Amino acid sequence: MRIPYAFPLAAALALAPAAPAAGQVRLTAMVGVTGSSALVTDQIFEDIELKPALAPTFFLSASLPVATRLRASLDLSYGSSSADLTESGQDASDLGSIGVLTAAVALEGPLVSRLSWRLSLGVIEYLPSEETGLFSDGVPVAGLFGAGLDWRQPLSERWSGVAGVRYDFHLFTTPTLEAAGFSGSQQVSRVGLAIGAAWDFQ
Amino acid sequence: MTARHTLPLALLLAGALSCAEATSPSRVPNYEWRLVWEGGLDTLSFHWPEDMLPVKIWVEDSLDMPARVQEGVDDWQGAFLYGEYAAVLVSDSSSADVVVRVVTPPPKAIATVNRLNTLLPGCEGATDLDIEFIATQYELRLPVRMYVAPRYDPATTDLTECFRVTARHELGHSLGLFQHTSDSRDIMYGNPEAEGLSARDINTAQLVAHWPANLIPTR
Ligand SMILES: [Zn+2]
Repeated sequence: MRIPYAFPLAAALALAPAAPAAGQVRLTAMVGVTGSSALVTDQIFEDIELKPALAPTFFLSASLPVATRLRASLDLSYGSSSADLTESGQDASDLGSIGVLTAAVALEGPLVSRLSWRLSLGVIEYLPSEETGLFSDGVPVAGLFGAGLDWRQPLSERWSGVAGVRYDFHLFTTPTLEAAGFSGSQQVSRVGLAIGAAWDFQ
Repeated sequence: MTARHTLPLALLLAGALSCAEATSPSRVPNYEWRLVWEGGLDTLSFHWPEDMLPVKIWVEDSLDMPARVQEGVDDWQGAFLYGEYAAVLVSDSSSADVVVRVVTPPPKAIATVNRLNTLLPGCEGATDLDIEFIATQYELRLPVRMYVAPRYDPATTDLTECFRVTARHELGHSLGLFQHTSDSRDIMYGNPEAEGLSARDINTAQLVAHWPANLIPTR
């Protein structure tokens, strides 16, 4: 099932609880890389694995305080890399590139020193460059659970540098894989590392 | 909501998600696809190497055959998950990997040609595989030649479906399905009547693409 309105919905959900709270809005932009576990594991005589290559990724978030030591945030990320197919660990055919878009609502709070935690729930959408093979009937939007840690170093009254690590988890399948007899979904974990800047304003 | 409440919720969600386990299909049922060579001396398996994709197919522009072949290409491409097969119709037969003529299969010109014949009530088809053992390996000399021809006057009989089935069947030979099956639901049945690819056709095509080929395409 495709959910074309999932991203606006996530945005609305994120903003709804945050709007009444008066406080400092923080915008954070980061760039980094995201690595993923396999999207598909298969066996046709040999083991086959489809995995996105390490992807340059942009992270954006807007957060508002919602309670003492707690902020609510809307997170967006986008990364793109090649969809690498390996057979017996050797490079096999080219499946083009694959973009990965995520939108999530998150809660974040201080941990120790300048380190903060974050937990998020959202959605992930895969955008393959070529709608062939296992992508021929598209890829449904999937739910996403995420967690992360951010280190924030104040640089001025409003600006700070940020370094973050992100982990997220989702289930991957496509209608074509299901029609081909795959049962269940592949559990996919992703880890991202990023650096960037945050800007606080009233 | 506080972090104290959020963490157990998140762990519960992660636990629920982790219950789903992906399992890949077994590709069963399937059928034998390899060409039995010289009375059982060897069996030959073929698939298009990745660096030759997309396979270039030239089709004689007669009786709407390019459209029928394109439909067959689309069907076979859809049988694969990982881009193992792709083909395009080209306008120059001299550089084509597969040449499709809309004529009654002519007598075999070369002794090394291995012909696979197909006979339907309304039309007929054939695929010629020119195979030779050179030095240390079996070579498939390109182009693979395919023939599709009406058995009745196409002006008086609608043979569209017959051409569609035959084109799909002959294309199956061109991607390595070198045997006829005994199940009429398969497109690779000797006298095919199936309106599409069976699960056995799809399973077998996927197996062919990953089985080590000992028949190498050459020009
Ligand atoms: Zn045949």
